[in-house]
Amino acid sequence: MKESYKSFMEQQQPSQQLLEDAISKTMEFSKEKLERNLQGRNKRVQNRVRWQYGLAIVAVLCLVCVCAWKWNTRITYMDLVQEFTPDENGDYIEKREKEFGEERNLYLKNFDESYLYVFDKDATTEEISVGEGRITVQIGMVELAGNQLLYQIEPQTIHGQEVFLGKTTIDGRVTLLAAFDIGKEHYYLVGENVTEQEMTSYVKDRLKAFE
Amino acid sequence: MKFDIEQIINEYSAMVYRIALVYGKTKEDAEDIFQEVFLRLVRYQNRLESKEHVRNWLIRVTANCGKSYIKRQSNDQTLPLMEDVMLSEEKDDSDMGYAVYQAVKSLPEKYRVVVHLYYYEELSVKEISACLQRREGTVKSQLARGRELLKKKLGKEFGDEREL
Repeated sequence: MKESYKSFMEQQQPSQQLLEDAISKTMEFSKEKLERNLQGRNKRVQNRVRWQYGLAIVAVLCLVCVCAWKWNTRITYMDLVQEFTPDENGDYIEKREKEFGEERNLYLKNFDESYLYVFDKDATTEEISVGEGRITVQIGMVELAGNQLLYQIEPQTIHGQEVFLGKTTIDGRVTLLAAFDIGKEHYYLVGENVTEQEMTSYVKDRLKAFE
Repeated sequence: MKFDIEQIINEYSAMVYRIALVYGKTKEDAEDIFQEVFLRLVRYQNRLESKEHVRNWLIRVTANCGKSYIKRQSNDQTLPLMEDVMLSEEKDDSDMGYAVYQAVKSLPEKYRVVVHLYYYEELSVKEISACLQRREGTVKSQLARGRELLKKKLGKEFGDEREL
């Protein structure tokens, strides 16, 4: 029976016409497929190029934005340069002394004769060692305490808080200054022998603690 | 992988056509299945890893196309039954073979290809299992049931079957 089946099946062959049809159809299909692939590939290449250009433009824009943002938000310590000179008689100083007077526990002093300094004698002071230097933190109730030149420059924003940052150079020794308010308390920081980075980092930590 | 489709068609056309015959009701059905199989080969040739896989792949795809064809036809009730119009002229010199062929075709679809591959292509159960991606146990039981049904259909003529 198996042999009969085999013998019968042996006789069943696809016609030449069917073979030719199959070959031509597959060739046609292959060609279409190839064209579709080519078109698809061209499109993919075009899309890829477009994407690359797009991404490059976006990357450049992002870079510009980041740079601009960094530029705007960079922390700089302005050199505090005396812009006014007390007159020879020290009238200006005297005048301010009289204006604010002792009743507010505030003194004006012609500190080493180069800039005005406001003392807050009731302020609490703490010293923090940072690296090889130290930061003196004065916390008081007197507004605009410390080096008055510091308040003449534009404040910068750290953690959403306005902070005055500056530096003075006396005999080649750089002193960094920072001033900000937290609530009703006024902070005045003096950094000696510390880097700008260390000073900024400390200011940030201090402000962050009150966020 | 890229294949020479024309060469594959020439090499495996008879095998594919015969499996298609087991599924199609008419010669035209078998031809449709045949064409579909080779179009699928062009479409999916990238999935074939090597030339050695082509034969197994063709057997499996022919069986799948055959099954789909049967399903489509059973859904389409407007088609008249044209049982084996094409083979009537060829059956005179091998009546017995034709009877067996008819009996194989009358088997449930899942047994047909297994019986055909076992008896005509002389594949082992393991090979059939690999081709159709069915478990060996499944192939064995399908073969056994197919043989049982053939025995009932063919009666005494089913005496010299190849034993499993």
